[in-house]
Amino acid sequence: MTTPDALEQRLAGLIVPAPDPGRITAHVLSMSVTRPRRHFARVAALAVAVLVIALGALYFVPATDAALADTPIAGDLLRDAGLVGAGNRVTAVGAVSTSSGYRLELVGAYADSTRTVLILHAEPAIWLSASNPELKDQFGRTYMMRSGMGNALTGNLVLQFEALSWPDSITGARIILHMTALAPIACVAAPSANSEGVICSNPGPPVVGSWTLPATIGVDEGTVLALPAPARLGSANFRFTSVVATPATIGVEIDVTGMSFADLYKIIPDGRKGTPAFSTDLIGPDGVTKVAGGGGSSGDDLTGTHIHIQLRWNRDGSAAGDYRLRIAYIGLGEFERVLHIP
Amino acid sequence: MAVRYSPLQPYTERMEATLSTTDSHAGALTAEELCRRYAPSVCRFAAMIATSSPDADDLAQDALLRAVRAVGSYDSAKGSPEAWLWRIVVNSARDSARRRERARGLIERLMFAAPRESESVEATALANLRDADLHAQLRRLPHRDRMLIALRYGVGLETDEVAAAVGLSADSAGKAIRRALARLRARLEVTR
Repeated sequence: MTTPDALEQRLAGLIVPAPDPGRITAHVLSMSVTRPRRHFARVAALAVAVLVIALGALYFVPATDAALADTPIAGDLLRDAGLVGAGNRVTAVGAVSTSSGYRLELVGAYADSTRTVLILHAEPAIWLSASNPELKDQFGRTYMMRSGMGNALTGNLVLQFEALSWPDSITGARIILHMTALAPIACVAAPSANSEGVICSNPGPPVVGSWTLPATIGVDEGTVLALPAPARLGSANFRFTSVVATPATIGVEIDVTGMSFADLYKIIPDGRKGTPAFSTDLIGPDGVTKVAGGGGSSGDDLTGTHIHIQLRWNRDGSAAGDYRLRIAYIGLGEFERVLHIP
Repeated sequence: MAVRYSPLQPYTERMEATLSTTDSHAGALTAEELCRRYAPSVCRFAAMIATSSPDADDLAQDALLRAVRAVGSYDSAKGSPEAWLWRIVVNSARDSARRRERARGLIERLMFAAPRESESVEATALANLRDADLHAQLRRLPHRDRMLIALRYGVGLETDEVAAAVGLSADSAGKAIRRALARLRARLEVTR
C-alpha cells in the first residue's frame, strides 16, 4: 500500500459544505413514507388513462354488430344504390338536417371493401351543386365521391364514395356527410307525355346552407377470391390483381400493359354515339348480365404503359355460383374467366 | 454543515465497525437505520461531486431515497451492502449529471443573473478558504473525475470498492483515480 501524498491527504480531510445528513434523512424518510400514496396516485392516474383510452376506442371503433341491421328502405332506393338483395346489410341511419328550407335525411348507409353508399331523401327534391358533398370519417379523412344518382320526383339520392380506409374497413366508422350547397329542382308537367309525365330542371343558383348528417356504419368484409389466370388480347396483357365479393358487390382489379389509355377508351364510330372498343361484362349464374356499379382506371402516364383497371358490379341479389367475366376488345377478340363467387 | 472524516481511514473499517454493532447485512436494515448509517457518507460524496450546494442537496436526497426504496430488494448473496449502496449512489449521480447536462444551457444563462451560492455557503467558504479553494478546483473537474475522487477520498472507499461502484476493474479504477488526481493537481498548479 502506497503512502498517500499531500493532495490525497487533503482530499481525505477536505471540509466541504455538505448537506445536513439529518435534514436529508428526515426528508427522505418522509418521502419514503408517502410513497404508497404516490403509488396509489400513479395507479389512479393509470386507471384514468386507461379509461380515457377505452372511451376513445369506443368512440373511434363503432359497434359494428349493431351497425348492420334490417331497415325498411324502399326497394327503388336499394335498386338505385345497387343494393337489391342486400337490404338487410344496409344500416338504417335516420339522421336529419334542415337548412335554408331544405330538409335532408340520411336514410341509410352501406359500406363494403369496394364502396361506401349513402342513401338520402331530400324535401323538396334537390340535386348536387358544383360543390360536391364532403364525406369524412372519425379520423378526419375525406372520401372521394365516385357517383351520384337522384330522382327528381321522389327526392331520393344515392351517393357512392370510395371504400373506407383502414381501420374503418375492419371496425366500421363514424362518418359525417357535410353539404354546403344544393341545386334546387323544379318539375313541370310535360307538354307531351314522357315516361314520367314531367320535365325537371334546375331553375336557379345553388341554395347555400349547411347540412351535416352523421352516421355509424359497419363494413361488409369482402371475401378475397382466387385470381383468374392472366390473358392476352393483341399486344395487351391482362393480369388480375384482386377479386373480391361482398353480399352486394363483386369487385375486380386488373393490371393492363401494352395498351394505352387512348386504346382503352377508344370509341368505334357507328353513326350514333359510337361503341366502346373495350368492354367488360359479368354474367351471373342465372345468365343475366350484371349492371356495372362503377369503376375506374389509373396509369403511369397518359400513354398508359401500365394501366390499373377497377371494375365493380352490383350483385342485385344474385346467389352464389360461377360468374363469367367477359373482356373484349373490338378487332382483337375476347376472353372469359370464371369467378367462383360464394 | 461541514463533515470531516479521519484522513484516509479505510471506509470498510468504518463500515464494518458500524455493522458489527447491528445486523450483518443491509437486508435486515430498516429505512431509518440505513439513513442513520449512510446518510453522512452520501452527503459528503454529494458535496464533493456536485457543482453547487443545491445540487449536492438534490443528489444526496435522490441517492438516499433510491437506496431506501430499494432496501427491501437488497440480496446479501450478491455482495456487500456498501457495494450495493454505492452502486445506487453512483447511478444517481450519473443520472443527475445527465439531467444537468440537458439543462446546462438554461443554467448558464441564469448564472449571469443569480448568485451561484447562498449567503451561508459563502460564509463557510470564507471561513475555510484553503479547503474552499481546493473544493472549487475539484468542482471544475469533469464529472467522472469528481466521482472517482469523491468515492476514493471523500467517502474513503478502497480502489476495488470504487471499481465495483463505477463498474470498472480495480486496475482501471486505480489508473482512472490517478489520472483524476493528476488533472486536479494540474489545476491547482495553474491557480497557484
